[in-house]
Amino acid sequence: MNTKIRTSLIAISITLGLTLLKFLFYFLSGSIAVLSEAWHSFSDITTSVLVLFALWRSASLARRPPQPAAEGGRADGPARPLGFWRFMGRLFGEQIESTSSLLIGVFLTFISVSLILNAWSTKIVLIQRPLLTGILFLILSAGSYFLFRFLSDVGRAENSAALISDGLHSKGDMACSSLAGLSLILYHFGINIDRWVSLAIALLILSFGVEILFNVFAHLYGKRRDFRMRYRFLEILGIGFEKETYLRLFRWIDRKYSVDILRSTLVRYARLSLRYSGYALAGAALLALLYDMRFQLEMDEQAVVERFGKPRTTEPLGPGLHFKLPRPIDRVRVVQTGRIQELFLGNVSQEEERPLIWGNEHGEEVHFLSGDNNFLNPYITLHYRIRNLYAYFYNIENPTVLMENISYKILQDLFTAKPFYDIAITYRREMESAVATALQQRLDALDTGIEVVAVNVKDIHPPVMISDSFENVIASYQKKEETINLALEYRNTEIPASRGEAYTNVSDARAYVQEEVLKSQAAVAGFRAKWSAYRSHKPVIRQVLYFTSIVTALGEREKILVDPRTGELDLYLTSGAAAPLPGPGGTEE
Amino acid sequence: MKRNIIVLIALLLAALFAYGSFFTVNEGTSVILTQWGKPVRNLEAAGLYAKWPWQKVNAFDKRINCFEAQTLQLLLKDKNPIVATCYVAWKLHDPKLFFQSLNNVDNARLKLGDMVNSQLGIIVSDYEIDKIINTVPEQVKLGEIYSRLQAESDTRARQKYGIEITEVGMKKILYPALVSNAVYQRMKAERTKEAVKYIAEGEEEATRIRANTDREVKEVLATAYKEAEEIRGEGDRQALKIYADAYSKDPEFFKFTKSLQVYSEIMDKNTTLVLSTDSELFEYLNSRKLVR
Repeated sequence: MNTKIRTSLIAISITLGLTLLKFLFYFLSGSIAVLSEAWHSFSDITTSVLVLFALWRSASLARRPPQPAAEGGRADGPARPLGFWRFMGRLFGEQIESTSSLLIGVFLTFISVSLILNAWSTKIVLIQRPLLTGILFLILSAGSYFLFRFLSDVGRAENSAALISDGLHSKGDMACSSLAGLSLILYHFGINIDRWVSLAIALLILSFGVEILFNVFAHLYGKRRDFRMRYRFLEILGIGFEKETYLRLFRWIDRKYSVDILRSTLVRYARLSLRYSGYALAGAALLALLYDMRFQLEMDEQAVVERFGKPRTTEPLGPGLHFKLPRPIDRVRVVQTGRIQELFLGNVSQEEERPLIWGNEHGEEVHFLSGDNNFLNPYITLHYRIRNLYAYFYNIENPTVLMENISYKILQDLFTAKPFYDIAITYRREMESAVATALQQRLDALDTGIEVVAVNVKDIHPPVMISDSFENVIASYQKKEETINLALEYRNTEIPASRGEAYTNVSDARAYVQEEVLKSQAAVAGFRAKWSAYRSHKPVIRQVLYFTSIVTALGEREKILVDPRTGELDLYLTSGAAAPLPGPGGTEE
Repeated sequence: MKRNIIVLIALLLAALFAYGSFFTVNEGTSVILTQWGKPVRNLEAAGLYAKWPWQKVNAFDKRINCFEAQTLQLLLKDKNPIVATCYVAWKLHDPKLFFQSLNNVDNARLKLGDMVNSQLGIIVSDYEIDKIINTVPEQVKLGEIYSRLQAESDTRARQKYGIEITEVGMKKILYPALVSNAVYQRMKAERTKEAVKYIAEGEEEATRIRANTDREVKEVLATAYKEAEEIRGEGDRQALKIYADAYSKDPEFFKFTKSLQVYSEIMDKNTTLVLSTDSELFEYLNSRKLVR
C-alpha cells in the first residue's frame, strides 16, 4: 500500500465520522443548513472512495511492463483510434486520476442542485438547540481543516491531483461547517439565516463541482499531460464573458467539423440586421408612439386627459375612440363610472357560497356596540358608483378609505342609540335608508363625486361565541307557542265535546217528554176502554180483572198459605208444584 | 472625432439642463419650489412650469386624505373605559407651513393621529357612558363630541401644521377585553332570563286556557242539564194532566185497576207470598167448601 492510498483511507474514515455526526446534528436541530452540510460531507465520502479507486488503478498500471509503441496505437498512422474512442481510452487508461475527478465533479454538481431545490422549497422550520449544535459545528469545522491540510500536503508531496482536489473539497467542507455553525448561533440570538446558509453551502458545492469539471475537460482536451487544477471558479466565470473564448470555439468547430460559423448565413443575417437595427428600432418606436396616442373607452368608462398634469376638458370623455399627445405630455385617467362597485362593512368576507348562519364566523368580523350595551356584528354591503370623475380624482386622495370610515362612523352612531333587537329586527329597513342618506350627505359635503346606490344590510347577528344563547331564546319562544298550542288543542277538543254532551242531554229530555206523554195517552186509552166495559157489568168485570191480574201477580212466585185460625202453615207452593216445607218439623199435607 | 465627442457631450448637457428646467404641477397638488433649501415660489394651478435646474420641486397633495388613527383606551367621566378608533380626513391648508413642520404625508398622519387622539381623550372625559351609548337618542352626545373634536383639532392643525381637518369621528367604540368578556356573560345571562320567561309565560297561558276550558265545559253541561230537567218536568206535567183528566172520571175504578197492575209489578220472581187461606182468593181452595 503506497502513501497515496493510505492517505485516502484515513481521509475516508475521518469524513465518515464527520458525516455521521452532521446527520445526527440535523436530527437534533432540524436545520436545513445542517442538512446541506451533512449531504456535503456524504458527498465527500463518495468522492474520497472514487479517489481511492483511482489511486489503486494508477498504482496497478504503474506496475505493468511498458508496451511497444506500435501496439499502444499512439504512433502516427492508420492504426490510431479516432475521436470518441481515443477520448475513452485516455479516460480509463493513463488518466485515471482525472477520470475520478470528473466523477467527483458530476456528483458534486448533482448534490448541489438537489440541495438548492431543497432549500428553495422547504417551509420555515423551527430549529431546536441552536446554540449547542452551533458550537459543535464550529468544532467540527476544525476537523475539516485538519483533513484539508493533511490531504493537500500529502497530495503535493506525492504529486497526486486526486488528493489535492479531495483536499480542496475538505477546505470547502470546513467553510461550510463554520457557516452552518455561525447560522445556528445567530438563530439562537433571533436572526434566522438558515435557508440562506443552506443555499450558500449548496452554491459553494456547485462552484467546486463546476471547477473540477472544467479542469478535467480542459485537461482531457488540452495539451498538457499532467492533470492539475489550473482554473479557479472565478476565472472560469470570467472566461465565459470573453469574446476570445467564443472566437476560439468557432475556430475549433471550423477546424474540427469544417463549419465556418463566422461566415454562415445566420451570422450574415445577424450582422445585416444589426446594420439596419437603427431603422427598425425607429420604426418600432414610431409604432409604439402612435399606439400610445390612441385610446378606447368602453361603454361603462369615462376618462380625463391631463396635459402636463392639468385636465384638458371640463367634461369627461365618454365611450369611443379618442386621441391624445404621447407621454409625458398627455396622460389618460380612466374610471368605470357606469359600473356599480361594492364596499363591505363590518365583515370583509367575500365568500358568497358560505351560508350566513349565526353560529358561523362570517369572515373577518367587526364588533359594534348597541344602545343597550350588547355586541353585534353587522354584515353590510355598500353599492356605489362614481358620479363625478373630476371630484373623484382631484378632491380625495383615497375616496374608498374615506367612504369606509364615514360609513363606520354613521353605523356606530346609529347602533349606539338603538337596542339590539330593534337593530336586528324592526329598524333594519329604516337603517338602510338612514345610512344611505347620511353617507350621501357627508360624501356630497366633502365633494367626493361618489353616489351611494344602495346600502344592503345582509345580516346582523350577536357575537358567534354567544349566538347559541340567542337561539335558545328563540327556541324558548317556540316552546312557549307549543305549550299554548297544546292548551288550545285541549280547549278545541273539550268544548265541542261538552256542547255535544249538552245537546244529547237536552235531546234525551225531549224524547222523555214525548215518551211520557205517549205512555200516559196509551194508559189513559186502555183505562177508558176498560172503564166503558166496567160501567155496564161492574161486578163481573171487576172479578175478571181481579182474577186475570192475580194470575200475573201470583203466578210464578213462591207462596206460603197459612191457616189464620190455627196459625199453622197450610201449604207451601213453589212455581208450578208443591214442595217440601223449609225448616225442621215442617210437614206436607 | 474629438469635435464630435465635444458636441455629443454638449448636447447631453443641454438635454439635462432642459430636463431640469421644466416641471409639471398636477391637478390636485401644490408645489413649493425651493432654491438651496429656501422656498422661492408656491404654485397651486396645474400645468407646465419652468425653473432653474438647481431649484427643487416639492409637491404636496391638496386632496382630502383620510386615515385611521391608532386605537386607544380612554376613561370617561364616570370612570368607564372605552376603546376608540378615530379616523381623520384632512387636507392642506398652508403648504409652506406644512412643508416646514411636517414635510410629508406619513409624518402628517403620525402627528395628526397623536394630536386627535389626545384631544379625544380630553373631550370624552367630560362625558359619561350613557352620553355615548344610550337607547334614548336624545341623550347621546356623540355629535357634540365630534363637533368639539373637529373644532379643537382643526384650530391646532391649522396653526401648527398648516392642515385643515375636514372630518373626524370615531369609527369604532368598544369596551376593553375584560369588560367585553363581562358584557358577553351579561348578554348570555340576559338571553337565558328571557328564554326562561318565555317558557313560564307559555305555561301560564296554557294553564289559563285549560282552566277556562274546564269552566266553559261545566257551564255548557250544567246549562244543558237545567234545560233537560225543565223539559222533563214539563213532560211529566203533561202526562200527569192526561192521567188526571182520564182517571178523575172514576177514581175508584182507577184505584182498583191500578192496584191490580201494581201488584204484578211490585212482586218479582224472588218474592215469597204468605197468604191466608181464609182470604177470598182461596175461598174455594178449602176442601170443605168444595164439598159444601
